[in-house]
Amino acid sequence: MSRLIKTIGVAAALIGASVVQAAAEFPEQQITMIVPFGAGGGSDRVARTIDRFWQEETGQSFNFQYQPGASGAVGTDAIARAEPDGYTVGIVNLPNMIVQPVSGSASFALDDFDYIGRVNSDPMVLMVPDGSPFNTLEEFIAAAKEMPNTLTIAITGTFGAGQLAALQMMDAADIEATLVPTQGGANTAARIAGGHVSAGIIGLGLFTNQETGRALAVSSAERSDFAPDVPTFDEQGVTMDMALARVIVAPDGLPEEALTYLRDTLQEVTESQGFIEASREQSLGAVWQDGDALEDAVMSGQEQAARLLRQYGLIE
Amino acid sequence: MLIDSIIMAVHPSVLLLIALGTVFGAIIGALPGFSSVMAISLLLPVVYPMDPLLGLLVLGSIYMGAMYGDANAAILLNIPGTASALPTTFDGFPMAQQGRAREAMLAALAGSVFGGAVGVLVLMMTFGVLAEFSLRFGPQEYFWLTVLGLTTIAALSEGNLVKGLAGGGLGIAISMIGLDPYWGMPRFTFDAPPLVAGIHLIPALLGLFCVAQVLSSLESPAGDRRPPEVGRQKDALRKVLGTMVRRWDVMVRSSAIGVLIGMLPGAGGPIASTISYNETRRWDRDSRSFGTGRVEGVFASETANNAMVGGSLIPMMALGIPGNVNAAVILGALLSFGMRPGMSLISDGTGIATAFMIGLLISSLLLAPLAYFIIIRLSILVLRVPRTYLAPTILIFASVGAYSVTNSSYGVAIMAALGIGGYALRRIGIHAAPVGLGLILGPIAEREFTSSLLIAQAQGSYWTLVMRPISLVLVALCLLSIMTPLLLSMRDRMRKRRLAPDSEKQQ
Repeated sequence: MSRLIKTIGVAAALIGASVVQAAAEFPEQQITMIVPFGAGGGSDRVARTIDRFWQEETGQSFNFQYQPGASGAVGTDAIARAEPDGYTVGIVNLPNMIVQPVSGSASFALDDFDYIGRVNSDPMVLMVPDGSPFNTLEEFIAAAKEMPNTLTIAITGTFGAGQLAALQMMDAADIEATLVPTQGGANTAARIAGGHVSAGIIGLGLFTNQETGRALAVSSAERSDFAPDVPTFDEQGVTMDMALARVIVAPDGLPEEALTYLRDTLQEVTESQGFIEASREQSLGAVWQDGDALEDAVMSGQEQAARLLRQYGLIE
Repeated sequence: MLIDSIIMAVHPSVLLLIALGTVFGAIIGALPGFSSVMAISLLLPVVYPMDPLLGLLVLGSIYMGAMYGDANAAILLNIPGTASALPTTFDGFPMAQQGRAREAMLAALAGSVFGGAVGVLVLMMTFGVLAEFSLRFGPQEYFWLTVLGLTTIAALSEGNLVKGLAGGGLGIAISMIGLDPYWGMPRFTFDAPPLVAGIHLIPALLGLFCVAQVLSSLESPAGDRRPPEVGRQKDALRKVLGTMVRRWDVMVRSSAIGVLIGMLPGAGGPIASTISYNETRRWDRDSRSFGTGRVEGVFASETANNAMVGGSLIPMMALGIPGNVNAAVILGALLSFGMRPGMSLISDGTGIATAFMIGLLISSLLLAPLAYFIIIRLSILVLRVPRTYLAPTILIFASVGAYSVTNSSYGVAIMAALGIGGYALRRIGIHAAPVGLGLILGPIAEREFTSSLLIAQAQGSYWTLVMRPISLVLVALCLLSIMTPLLLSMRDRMRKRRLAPDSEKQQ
C-alpha cells in the first residue's frame, strides 16, 4: 500500500517537476500533514485552517493523514519515524507531546523532532457551575484548604493540559482536590454546567462558547481578549503557566533548505491577517513562536511537567 | 419570521444540496470504516466559503443520511457499517436470510425517516428546556445507562445465559487493551507497542461480524453458497407501513429514547439503538422471537439512531455543548459563520438557525423517496451476487475500511485477529452480538464508573452512585431488564404445571 502511495507520489512529483521548470527548489512535491487525532477534532480544524492559508501563500495544499490512538501518541510517533526529507510534518498538542515520553505511553523522545513553530495557544480556565457557592478563586482555595480532597475538579483526559493545569494550581495554592477525568472537552463542560463536580478546567476557546457557568481564573500571563472579565491566576496570587498549544513538528534531521522553507512559510501563514481572523472565529488565539524558541520551551516544559507528575505520584 | 425561514429552506438550490448531502451521507454510512464524522469534516473546507445556511445544511444532511445508510449493510451482509447499526443486525440479517430483505430495508428506511423527523421536531420545539434536562445526567447516570445497554446481553442470549455473559465479558476485556482511562497506564499490552493504541472499535466489529461471517459461510457445501432469495415481496411496503401504524408504541418509544440519549454528550448512537432495541423487545408480548427476524427490532434500532441526530443538536445549539463528534463539527462550522450557540440563535433576526432546522427536517423526509428509488434498489443488487464472489469482495472492502481507521496495517491485523477469534467463538456457541456490545459499551461503562467512584470518595459515600433521582429510575430499569427473562420463564413453568393436570385428566 505504502509502495503504491510512494509510486503515485513519485509520479506526481515527476509531473509536477516537468510542469514547473525550476525543479530544484523545495518543495518539489506535496507535503504530508499527519494529524494524530481523528478527522473533525480540534487539531484537525487548526490543521485545515493552516492548510487554507498555506494554499493562499504558496498555492500548495497538504496531503492529510489521520493517525489517531493513545491520545495522539501513535500519530506523533509516526511523525518521528517519517523520512526526514521535509515532506512529512505533523500537528501535535502541547503539553500532551511533552508528557507522553515521561508517562511511558510513547516510544518517541523530544529530540526525535525538528521544531517548525507554534501556531496557537489556548489558555485554561477554572470554571464553576452557575449555582456554585464560589465567586472567586480565593473562596475556592479557602474551601479546598478547609476540606482537603472533597472538592472535585473535572479535567479532560489524562496527561493533558487540563490535568497539568490542575496539578500546577494544586501545587501553587497548596491545596488537595479530587481530579475527575472525562472523555472530551464537551463532556467536561457538561459535567461542570450540570453541577456534577465542584469545578472543572477547560480551554478558554470552549469556555467562551458556553451559555452557562462562570470562570474563576484563566491560566495565561495576561487577561485574554476573548474573555476580558476573567482575571488571571497570577492576579489572584497563584502562579500558573499552562496552555493547550498546537505546534508543527517534523522528524529530526531535515535538510537546511527544507527546514528554513517550512519555518518561514509557517510564520507568514500564522502572522497573516486571514489566519488570525479565522483562529479568532474558532475562539483560538493565533500565537506565533519560532522553532528555536519552541524547542527551548518544550525541553524546559518537560522538566516541569515531570516534576509535577512525580510529585503527585502519577509517574515513577 | 417562521415563514421567512421556510422560504429560505425550500429554495431549489437549497433543496438540491440537501438531497445531494443526504445521498452522499447514506453512501458513506454504508461503507464500513467510513464514518459520518470523516465525511463532514472532509467537507468543512468546502463549506467555509459558502452561505451559512447552505454550509450548515450540507453538513446536517450528510449526518442525517449517514445515520440511515449503515442499515442496509447490516441487514444484507450482517455488517454494522457503524457501531449504531449493531442492533439492526440482530433481526435485520435473519430477515434477509428468510427472503425478507426488502421488508427489512423498508422498515429501516421508514424507521429512519420517522425517527429523524421526530428528532428534528423535538429539537425545534423544546430546544432550551431539554438542553437543561440533559445536564442533569452525571457520570453516575451515564454508568447506569451503559449497564442498561449491557443488560441487552441477557436478552440476546436467552437459552444460554452463561455463553452470552462470557461473550459480553470477553468483549469488555478486549476493550480494556490499551491505556486505561484514568491513569493512562498501558494494560494487557504484553509489551507490544501497537497494542498501546488499543483495539479500535470499527476494525474489531468488522472482524467479529464480517470476517467471522465469511469464514463460516465457507463451511457450508458449495450448493448452499447461493445468496438468500431476495424475494419479490410485492406487499413489503404495505406490510411495513401496516406494522408502523399498528406498532406506533414502538415508533414513539424508540424516537423518545433516541432523542433523550442523543442529547447526552458522549453517550451517542450505539447506546441509543441498543437501549431502544432492548426496550422494544422487553415490552413485546412475544419477546423471545426477537433475534429471529422480527421487523420491530429493525424499527427500534433505526428509529432511535436517526432520532439521535436532532437530539445531539439540542445541547449543541442551546448550550454550546455538542452531543457527539458530528454535532461538534457542526458547532465548529456554526462558530466560523459567526453564530453563537444559545437561545439567541433563534431570535437573532436572521432566521438561519430556524431555516437550518427546517432543512434538516426536509433532509429526513427526503430520505424516503431518495432511498426508496435509488439506495434500496442499488443495495438489493448485492444479494444477486453469488456468494463465491461476494465473500472475497466483502473481505477486500472490510480490509480497506479497517486500514483507513488507523492508516496502517494495524487496523487490518485487529480485524483479522478478531475475525478468526470470532469464528472460533461462534463454533462453541458464543455469538458476535454480546462480544460487540461489550466492546462498544465496556469502555464507556468503565470510564463513567471510575468518575462516579472518584466523586463518591470525595463526597464520602458510595450511595451517591445510586441515590439520585435519575439513577434510581435507571437502576430500576436495569433490574427489570435482567429479571424479565427470569420472570417469563417462571410464568411458562407455572402455565405448564397448570396445563399438565388437565391433560392427564383427558387421558
